Amino acid sequence: MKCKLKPEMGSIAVQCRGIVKHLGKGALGARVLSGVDLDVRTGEMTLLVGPSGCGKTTLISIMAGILSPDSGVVDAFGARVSDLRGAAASRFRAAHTGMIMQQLNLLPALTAVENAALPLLAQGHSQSSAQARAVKLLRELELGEHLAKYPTEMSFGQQQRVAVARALVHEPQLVLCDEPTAALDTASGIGVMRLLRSAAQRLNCAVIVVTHDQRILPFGDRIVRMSDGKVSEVDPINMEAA
Amino acid sequence: MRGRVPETMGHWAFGCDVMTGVALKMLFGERSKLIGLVLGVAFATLLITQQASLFVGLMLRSQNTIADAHGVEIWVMDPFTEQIDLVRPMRNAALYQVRSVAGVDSAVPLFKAAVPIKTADGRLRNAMLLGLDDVSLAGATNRFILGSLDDLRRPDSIAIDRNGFNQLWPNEPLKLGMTLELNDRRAVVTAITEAAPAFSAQAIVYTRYSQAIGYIPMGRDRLSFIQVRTRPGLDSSAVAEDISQQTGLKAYVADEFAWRTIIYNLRRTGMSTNFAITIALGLIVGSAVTGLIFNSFISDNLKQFATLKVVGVTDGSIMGMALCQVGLAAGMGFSIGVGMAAAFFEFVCTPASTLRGFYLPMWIVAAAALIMAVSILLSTAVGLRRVMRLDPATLLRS
Repeated sequence: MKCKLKPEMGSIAVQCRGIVKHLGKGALGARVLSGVDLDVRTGEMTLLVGPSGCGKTTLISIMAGILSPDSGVVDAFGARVSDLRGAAASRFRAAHTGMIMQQLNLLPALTAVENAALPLLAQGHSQSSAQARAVKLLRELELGEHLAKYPTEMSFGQQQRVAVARALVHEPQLVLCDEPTAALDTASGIGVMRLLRSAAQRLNCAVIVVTHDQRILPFGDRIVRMSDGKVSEVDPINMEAA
Repeated sequence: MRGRVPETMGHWAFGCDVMTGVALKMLFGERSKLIGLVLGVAFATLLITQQASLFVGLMLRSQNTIADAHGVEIWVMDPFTEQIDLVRPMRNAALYQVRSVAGVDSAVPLFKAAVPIKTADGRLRNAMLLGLDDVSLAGATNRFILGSLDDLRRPDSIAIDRNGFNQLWPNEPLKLGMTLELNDRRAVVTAITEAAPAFSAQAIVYTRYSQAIGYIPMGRDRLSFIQVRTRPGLDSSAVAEDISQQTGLKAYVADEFAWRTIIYNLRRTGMSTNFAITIALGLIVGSAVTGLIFNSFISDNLKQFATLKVVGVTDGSIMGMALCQVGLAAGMGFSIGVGMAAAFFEFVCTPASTLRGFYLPMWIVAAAALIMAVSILLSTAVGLRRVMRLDPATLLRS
């Protein structure tokens, strides 16, 4: 494994320029992103908000190299992410990104430890070292009693923390979260956001959270508002959260 | 970039590639899916192998009389005779004509006819009566359970196969000395054979030629077949051709006559068509069911594969994982299916049953493996194509 160099706090982690993306074909097709320019900095938590269908999820998918833009470029950690395809995109995700999805998507046949260890396995770590790191992180997330449990044996909140562990276990430089608190009560939602904030500061990584949840807005360092496929407004740094 | 599994993920994954270990864990972790997959393949395999083996067994039965005639190289018959069970008798002079052909070492008569047999207590069955040359007793099976071929030289003696004995005396142990009637003529069982069963599984009765023609009142043409041995070192096919040319009779080497009998039954009997339809249905249903099961297995796991893509597992690794899962489940299912088919032939087709002689040929197992592998690979390929084209962003949009 190549050693990842930690970027300076506050330096630009991801730079998007002129991102255009269409989804669907023919009559069902739609222009989802219409020239998005956005810089995301390390050590910051950026909240991406806006009405449904404005392109938030599509934008983070492009940042992670999951989708390719029709035009425009995305640069992150020295790589032109927008040009990455196939195995190169997979390797980029494995090395640099962690993702938390709204549906969590934990693998039902794997225990909490095995689920959390997946990104390290994808990077090529040995089973033992991957699981050791996963166990350490899960204990930090107060899941020490649930290491050998399967997702169906845990509450949604516990599963959410396993998903957080899976996103952070390989210490990524970019953490992308899609509605991480949508299905949580206020206390659990705040708990998850604290974890993510703490990770952003501890790992000096950029955290981008797509959300509709007004309760978590105070946690963001910046709030990026999107509408009609464009960034309409970037709020200044949230001093209260910082 | 890939490591090895040293000690975790369960002992079954020891030594496997790490992602293979994850794949196996995914496969064994969802037992209902795994059981569905394995049983689907197992029953499809059972259907294909069992039906095909029964069909092949039935076709082989039709030529068993030829295959069982020990030491016979060439079969000579009337030009209108097409197969072993459809005989037009020849005149006795034909025997001398055949003996006069150069290259013929010995030529002996065989009488073959269907005859009703009756036990002392009135039980009636059909039998295939084979009258062997009085002097040499050539052309009989060489598998005797009780008694011997030479016992046929005794007056009124017959040899009956085990199946025939069990049909006539169902509750009696195999023993000699039982009497019965063939067309109201007395006969004594002096030997019991393990003759290969004939097409319709009737009793097989051997006796001397002179005695056999006494059981069946016929015209002067009584000679069913002439069984020939060629002189050492000569090509049987060439001698058979010489016999045909010089006598005007049909002469085939034993293998060719056996195949002609099989082909006749394939072409001229509805039974083979019906069986062929059953086998075709077995193949179609078996491969379609298997294909659908595996396709749906891949489809069910698409979300999990998408998750793996999101966390950075490459398409190649995911393809390897899916193939590992499919290969293992298919292997388990196929083994169980073949095992069930083998158990059927082992425990149902016993020597004492009417299904005696049916077995599971290895080439049918190999053919079934090929058919299953093709249908599984095709259906898996369709599923894998979807995995490769799978957009992991669907997880984020869901």
